[in-house]
Amino acid sequence: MRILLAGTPNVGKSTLFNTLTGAKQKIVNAPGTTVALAKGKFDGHDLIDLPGFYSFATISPDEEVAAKALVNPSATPDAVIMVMDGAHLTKSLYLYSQLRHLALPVFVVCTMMDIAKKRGINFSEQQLCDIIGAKGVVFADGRHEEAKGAVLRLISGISNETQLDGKSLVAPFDPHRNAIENADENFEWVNKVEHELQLHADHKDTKSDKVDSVLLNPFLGILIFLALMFLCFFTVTTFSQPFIDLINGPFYDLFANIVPDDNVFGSLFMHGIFDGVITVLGFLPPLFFMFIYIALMETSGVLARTAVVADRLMRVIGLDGRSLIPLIIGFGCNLPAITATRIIPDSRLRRLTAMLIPFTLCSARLAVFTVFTIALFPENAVFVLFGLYLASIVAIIVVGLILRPFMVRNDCESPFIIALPTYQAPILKQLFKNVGVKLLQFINEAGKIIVAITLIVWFLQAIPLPGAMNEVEQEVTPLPKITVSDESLDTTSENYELDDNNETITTTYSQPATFADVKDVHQSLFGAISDGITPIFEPLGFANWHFSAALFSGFVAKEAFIGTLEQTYNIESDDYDTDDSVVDSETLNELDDSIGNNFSNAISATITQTSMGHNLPASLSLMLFILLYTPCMATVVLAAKEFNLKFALKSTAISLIFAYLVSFLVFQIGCLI
Amino acid sequence: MCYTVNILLANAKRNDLVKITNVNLDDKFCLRLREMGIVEGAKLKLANRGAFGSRVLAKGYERVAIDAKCAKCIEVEVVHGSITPDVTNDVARNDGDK
Repeated sequence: MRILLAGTPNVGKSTLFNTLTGAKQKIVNAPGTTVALAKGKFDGHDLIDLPGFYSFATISPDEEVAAKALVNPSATPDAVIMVMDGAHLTKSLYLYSQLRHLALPVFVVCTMMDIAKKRGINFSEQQLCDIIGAKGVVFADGRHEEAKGAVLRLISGISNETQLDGKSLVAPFDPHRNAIENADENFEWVNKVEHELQLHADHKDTKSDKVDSVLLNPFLGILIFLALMFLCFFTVTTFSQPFIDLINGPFYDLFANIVPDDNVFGSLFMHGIFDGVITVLGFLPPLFFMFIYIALMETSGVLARTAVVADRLMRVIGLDGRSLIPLIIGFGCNLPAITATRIIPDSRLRRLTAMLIPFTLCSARLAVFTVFTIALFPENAVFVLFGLYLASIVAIIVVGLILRPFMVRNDCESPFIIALPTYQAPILKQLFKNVGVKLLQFINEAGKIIVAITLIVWFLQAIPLPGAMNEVEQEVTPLPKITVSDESLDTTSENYELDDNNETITTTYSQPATFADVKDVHQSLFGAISDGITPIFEPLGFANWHFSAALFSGFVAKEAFIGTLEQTYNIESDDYDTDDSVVDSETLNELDDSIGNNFSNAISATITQTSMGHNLPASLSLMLFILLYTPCMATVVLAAKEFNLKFALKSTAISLIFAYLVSFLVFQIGCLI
Repeated sequence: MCYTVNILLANAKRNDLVKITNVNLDDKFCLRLREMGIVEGAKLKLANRGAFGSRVLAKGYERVAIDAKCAKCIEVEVVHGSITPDVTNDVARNDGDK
């Protein structure tokens, strides 16, 4: 059977959906739209989680998708399960007053009845069922596994219903027109039901009101909000770093010590496949902490309040208040930030936010800038870094203002109206289970593509160009010197003195490079591609294959940027690990020592050569390009999965074009000054 | 002659019990507010005044947050609570005209 899960926002619908379907769910786009629908399996039936909507008089694309799904003659659902918030029944009743006109069996799951009972709201499942005329009503808490049993009871009711009448149950009906023309009738019906259920209550202050008086306070509220944002950023970056280090360090070394990479198959496994696997695993810790943080904010009710506080600020660039959270996360890592856009109910604003996330200065970019600022601005590295953070924020605002009229169009001035859910404590066991499901989805969907792209880059670096030669070093120990003491050439041993204290000599010779054994990356197909794209950067002041190669591999993973640059200069440096959340003069000075002068000098010399004496504008141009151009391929892949390929390609194109334009202007104007 | 002073919701104080008298918004947003319980004639409590001019309205246990722009488009009559009309923004009406 095909069952639609419908309801108003913040009633616990998605929580119930996650509990019912577990790992057996996937996200798809509603046909012909960019609105995401969650589809899953429960007890062998197809369950579809519709976006939350208040009424068939829709005002956003997400609401339209939900409304149309319920009256689609080519995809008639077998039943509708409407999720109602038992503690805030009125808004659910209004939607139900419209749903009841559909010739579809509508069943009801009432959540949050524990809170309702505490408020003195007392009615039974049968009472509610009789009063509203539903086919069946159960009370269930979507956070608990017991909800499965309650919904199974409902589903058995659906089976009986459809067996009674096998004909199509969808009658010709325009719910949108009905919602507007019959609004008064529907409101009267709701009032009648409220009266029968004795829902009218005094306007007493609740505990939620007391907490809201602090959280929504103009001064305290903003401070708390900033603290929550800092906590979000701190959680995603600092908490996850030790796990990332574990994956990139001991775990990686475990395999590196067993599998030699000095042959084709070893190199293919370690650098073609395993490096990709490590990249995917390295994203799991920040994703894990981000999912936990968002889930806690959502289920507790704090997220809705955050949206209220941040709304006015975000409306400056035409975004929802909830957009600030993914943008903040983006400053840690773009990948979980893209996933975090799921909290934004309006699909247009979700896409606009996802378009802006690539312009955030993530921690991987910070690692690159730490090296470059030391190399190019040794005296003012910290100030330049701070300036880059400001540039990131300015870029988000500017691009947001440019894209908004195209992506949000007519309704960008719609008022902000939101029903605030009651505060409640999340159930941790279910929360962690849902997070586990989401991480598995990431590995299954985006993970495979990331590994595939890593493999492609390995192939590009493994294929030697015609005539490619490897410089091979060989250590030679010269034969011992023999000194003849007597010119008579008597060969008896006492006439000879053996001097065998000769030092080992290192000699080099050339031999043709072979597949997967190309020592100089410039002589590989990867190098040829880097050479090919280098002229594009002439107007930007950093046209050099070293930078092109690094930018190319930086697209695969920003962490690979510096490694590739070292490779092109044939320089090995010490450990680059820094505490990415704290970059001060002392840290930068320590890093300078570890890098050594060679690398910094190499970068500086290259800029001098490419800029033809205009070092400052060229340096700024390069760093702004690194800041603004496409983020890592993992982010692009995830954007394609979360939205669609067209969106991901558009986002990539916008980043590249904007990065190129800004760098061009900075270099060209800088040269004139 | 009695006068009832209408004020903008934006100027009502926390815990004021207000009666909605007029909603000056586009029809579809008026309907959305109505669906949330904010409709002419409804008696609601101003539960909280939020940052940047947002307001939280209470109807029983339901709570609805609206932004500053919305709050300036809704006229209310204070049924119980403080009455401190903003003279430049408010509308005075003669009860005898009803």
